[in-house]
Amino acid sequence: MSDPALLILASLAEGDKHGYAMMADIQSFARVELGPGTLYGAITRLEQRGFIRPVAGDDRRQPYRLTAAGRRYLEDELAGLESVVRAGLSRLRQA
Amino acid sequence: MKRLFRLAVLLYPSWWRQRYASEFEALLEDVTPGWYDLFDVITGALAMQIKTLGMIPVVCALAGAIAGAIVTLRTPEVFASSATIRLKARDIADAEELRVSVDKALRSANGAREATLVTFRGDSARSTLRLTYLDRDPAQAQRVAEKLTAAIATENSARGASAEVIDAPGLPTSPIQPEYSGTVASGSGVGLVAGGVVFLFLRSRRRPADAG
Repeated sequence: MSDPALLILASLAEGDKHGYAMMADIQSFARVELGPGTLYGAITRLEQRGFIRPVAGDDRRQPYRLTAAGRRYLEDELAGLESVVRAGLSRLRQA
Repeated sequence: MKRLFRLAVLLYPSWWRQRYASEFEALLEDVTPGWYDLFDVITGALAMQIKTLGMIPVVCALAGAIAGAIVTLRTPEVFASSATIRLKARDIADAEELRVSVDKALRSANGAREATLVTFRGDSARSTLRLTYLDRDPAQAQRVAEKLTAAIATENSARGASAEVIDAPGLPTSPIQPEYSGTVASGSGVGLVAGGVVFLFLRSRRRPADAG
């Protein structure tokens, strides 16, 4: 899975994070290094779609939070991926 | 590197910079940016510009690039063969004669063709002549340039002035025209500007309706 938007939503499912914390988290759980431009391109799209929103932070590092719409979207996408993973693994075992 | 990143951030649309620039710069301070990150920021900025402007300028730029490519493909190739000759007049009085003799040699060797460029450098008594002959055939360009060089040398020797060929005409290996990359880049640039104008025009027409 390398869709930056999905990775960001999965990262924020754990709790509020700012850009650098998201990059580090995504690197640790998905082994994907998102560049700053890719990260903020996805953040821009997600915020415009109402899937994440900025919350008050201590300094210039702006934390983001998953919205209810973002949670539903993430659940749907992960459920779809889960069925693909299950089908793929099952077929590999049968082959 | 940090300075390059700050410049790259300027490539983003103004609405984006107003909203995200501060936190984005804070992120860039946290990471140890490399060349890949710079490339990532620049492509991110271009993607955001395309998203903001829509496809009109992009399509126009592509159309301009294609038009530029067609123009270059239809433009015949022209080759240049050049020689450098150092001319030395015996005294100042001979300098004018020297120039007259060069003109005469060029006229006699060049015939009806006018694709010859002559540049004089130096003082009146000693000049360096750069002669360039253009032709669609590279071998012909070299042949005529050699003839011109010989004619100039002979004419000047006859008048008692020295003519030293510093750089003899060579066989051109690549054409000087058409300039493929330059024409395609110019076409893209013109297309992009035209697309930008169309975009601004359409936006100005849409605005009153949006307000209403």
